[in-house]
Amino acid sequence: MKSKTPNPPKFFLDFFRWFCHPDIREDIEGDLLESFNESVKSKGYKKARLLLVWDVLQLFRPGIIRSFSGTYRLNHYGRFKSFFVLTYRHFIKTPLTALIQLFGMTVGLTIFLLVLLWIFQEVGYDKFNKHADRIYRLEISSEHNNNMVGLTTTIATIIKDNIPEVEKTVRLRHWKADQTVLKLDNEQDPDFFRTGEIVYADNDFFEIFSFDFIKGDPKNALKKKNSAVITESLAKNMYGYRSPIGEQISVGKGVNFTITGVIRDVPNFHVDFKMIRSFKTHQTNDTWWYWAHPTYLLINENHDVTELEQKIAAVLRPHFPEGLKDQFTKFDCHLRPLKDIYFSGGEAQEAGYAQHGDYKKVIAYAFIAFFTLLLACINLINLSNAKFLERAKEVGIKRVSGASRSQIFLQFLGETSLLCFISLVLALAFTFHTLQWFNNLMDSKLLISNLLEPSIVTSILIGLVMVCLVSGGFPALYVLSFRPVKVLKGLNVSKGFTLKKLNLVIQFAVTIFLLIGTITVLQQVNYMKNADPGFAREQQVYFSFNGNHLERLATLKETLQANPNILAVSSTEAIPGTYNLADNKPVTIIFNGTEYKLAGTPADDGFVDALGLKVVAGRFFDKAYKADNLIQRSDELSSEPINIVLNESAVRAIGLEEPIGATGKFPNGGIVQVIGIINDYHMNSLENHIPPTFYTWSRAFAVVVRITPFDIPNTVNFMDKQILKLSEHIHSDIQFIDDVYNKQYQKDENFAELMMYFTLLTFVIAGMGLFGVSTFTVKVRVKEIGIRKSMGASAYQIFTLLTKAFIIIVLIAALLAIPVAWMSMDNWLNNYAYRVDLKWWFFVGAGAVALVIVVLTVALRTVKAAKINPALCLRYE
Amino acid sequence: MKEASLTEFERIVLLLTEVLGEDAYAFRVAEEFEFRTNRSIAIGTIHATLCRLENKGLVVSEIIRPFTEIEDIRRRVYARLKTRLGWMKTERGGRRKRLYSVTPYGELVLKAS
Repeated sequence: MKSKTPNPPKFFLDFFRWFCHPDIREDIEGDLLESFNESVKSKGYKKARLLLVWDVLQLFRPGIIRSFSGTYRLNHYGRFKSFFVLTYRHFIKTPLTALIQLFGMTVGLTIFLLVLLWIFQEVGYDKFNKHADRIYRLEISSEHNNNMVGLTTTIATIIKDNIPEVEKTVRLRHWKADQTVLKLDNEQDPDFFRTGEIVYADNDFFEIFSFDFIKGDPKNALKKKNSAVITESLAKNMYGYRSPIGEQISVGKGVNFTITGVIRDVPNFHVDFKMIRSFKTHQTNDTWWYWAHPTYLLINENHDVTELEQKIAAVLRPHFPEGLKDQFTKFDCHLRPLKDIYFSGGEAQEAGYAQHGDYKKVIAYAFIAFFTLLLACINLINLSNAKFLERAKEVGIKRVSGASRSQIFLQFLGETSLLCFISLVLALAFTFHTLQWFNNLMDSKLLISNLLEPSIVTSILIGLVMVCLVSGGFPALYVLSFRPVKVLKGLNVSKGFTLKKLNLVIQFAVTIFLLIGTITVLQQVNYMKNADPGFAREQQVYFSFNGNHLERLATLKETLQANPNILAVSSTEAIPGTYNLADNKPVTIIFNGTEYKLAGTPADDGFVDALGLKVVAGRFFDKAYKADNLIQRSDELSSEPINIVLNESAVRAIGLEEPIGATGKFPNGGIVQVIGIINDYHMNSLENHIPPTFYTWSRAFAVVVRITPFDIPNTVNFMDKQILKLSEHIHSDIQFIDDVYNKQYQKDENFAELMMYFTLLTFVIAGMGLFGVSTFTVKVRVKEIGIRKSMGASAYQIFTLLTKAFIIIVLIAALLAIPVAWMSMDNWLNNYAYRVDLKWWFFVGAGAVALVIVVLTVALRTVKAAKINPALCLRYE
Repeated sequence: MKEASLTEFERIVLLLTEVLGEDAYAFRVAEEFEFRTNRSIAIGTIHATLCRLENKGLVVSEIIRPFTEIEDIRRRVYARLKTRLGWMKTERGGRRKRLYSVTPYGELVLKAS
């Protein structure tokens, strides 16, 4: 039953209560209800309701609507509002300074964000694996090899069968070269695709490593022979949005693969791949003969790793077959935690299958990002200080009217923090737009969505708070130092060595340091690229070729040499730019009773011609001498010494006085004789020393061809055809040596480029900060200038007066930066075996550039001030 | 003393407030206005006008509570308990009134116009 009093429309009454000014709310509400009751009596319920709604709507008018601030007297909303208003007004009043502040901070934060993303990616390698703590890579050391990663396939099986602590094992085989595959879904119009890098892996791969399956069953994806799992990006490339599960692809010669799964792309796994194929496809039976399979173990929790290492070694030892036992008399196992693999580049012999990061680089970039951000903060501090000094009167009045110190501190802190916050928003937008460029430069695969990861969000927030506290706190404290009474009388400009000057010194010290760094890096990169590598760099190509097929190699050599455009052909592995010290084990040779470790390199009679080397003494391998060729050495020659050729470094290292004809022996008793010496040449980048090397005429897995500069495309084409003609299973991968050789320096070039951009940006930031400070200085001293001028000072005198202080600052900064730069750059250059020397002009040049920029920036303001008409600036008092 | 400039409507409202004497609050003024001019008027208009007049010092207002303070608190508690008590059914739903009365200055202005 309805109550006797008819209900007014509740919603509108609530609405009225919400918008009405609280002082008059209840009076009007009463009136409304009274009028409602009246009209119910006279006009009926429905009409009365309508009338009330109409009344409420008419009440929605100025004078009745409450103001949205100032109502709650107990809160500080009004004060906060006034802060915003003040901030906005000062922003509008000095737009140039404000924009400089904003820009500097945005640049600083953008670099900070980019480097943050990169560092998190580097440090987070392999951490996505759920069992990361329990995954280890097995490495075996023996007499000849240290920390060999490539194992034979049997080892994993033996471990799995005999050691209960090991839950699962997986063997990998990595193919760096990509393959062209044929899509078999459309008979009429078959499509070719490049696969990218390929990995063969056991079925347990997905049980050990945590990859996200988009489609397919992770448990059985790699169970069958000829099954393949591809990454999402490759799947999209090949099949668009169609499901690729069950599709067939062909790698030619009747070998078809079935796609059994699609996984999400993982940017931070230490093995790069686009396609995983089942291990059975690669090898069905376990053998002892092919040392090329990185093996990973998933071990139970709570096991002592050293104990387990010994146990594995003990279990493996009796299993070695006869032929291998003597090679593995001394042998150790080492379990390397998965998390350590990424930053352990060079410690193990990996044959280049894993990607590696550099801890030093991470630290270097972290420092650069930190300094750029510091510079931006300093910039903000300086400019805010300058700006806040002009507001001294405001502060004075506030203090006098009873504002507490904390309130004033918060106001100025908040003002800077707001600026920082706006900068962060802008920086996010900049990051979004520059990420692609940054990725290209750093050769990384960062995604903007990484910014949403909790750890990164936390770091950004912590960074922002720090930036706000530093760049807002100092100016706010500075403001607090104003004495209200003094301030109200007039500006007080402190003289001497103030915070502002210290800040400028830091800014320019960092800038000069970075400039010296950039000059050094550029010099070193240029030096490495242009230094004489010791071999002819042009018109050489190489391709991989299995040297075990002797007849094929002989035919190929003959056919290639028949072409007039081909000058020399050599089967060797010493290819500049691809030669990896870690993969070419040093061989011990005893000369005069002392052991020497030399890098052993296969070559043949065409080697010197193909690479354009010089024979310094003696002779190189020659067909005429039967004993040279170890591959086809007949048995009657087996008692003869093995002929070797040394390079100059080896001769120096051994200290042979009469090298030609000198003999030495292998530890197993084989005798070697030196028949010649060739010049040193850089097989690696100049980062490494030229290793003492000896060459033997033996089997190699690559071919180097030197061609004439005429008609290169046709020659390469011809070679391509000849290679493919030899066998259906051969894959031609002709590459130019100078390309490969120069690629070694890509990393350094990118580093130099990045340093250049960073330096440029720090210069811009520092320059803008300086501009702001000089603007302020001129403004504060305008009366002094006027008086000086009216007393007869010339414009030049005024200019030097104003500029002198800044020049002194730059000189102090340079004095601070140069020793630090000298030490750290010398340290950096020591990473390179062949390096430029630090020259005096790097330092003087950097200092001079900084000085010129400072003078020009300051001149923008001071010249105008020096020309000022004294009557104008002295008119008002 | 400043010259008070009044609009026609303000003068009428001022006059009505004077006429109503002790019973002058917004709703009564509106009723009286409708009764006398035969034109309908929104309460908000009257309120706004009365506020303006008050700001100009022509009228003063005092608040009449229908209940004592203790009763008021009690009423709110019961309202929250959704209990309908006798006084909830009073004319104005128990809301307070703001009574206006014309100041001497207001009377002066009235007389002048």
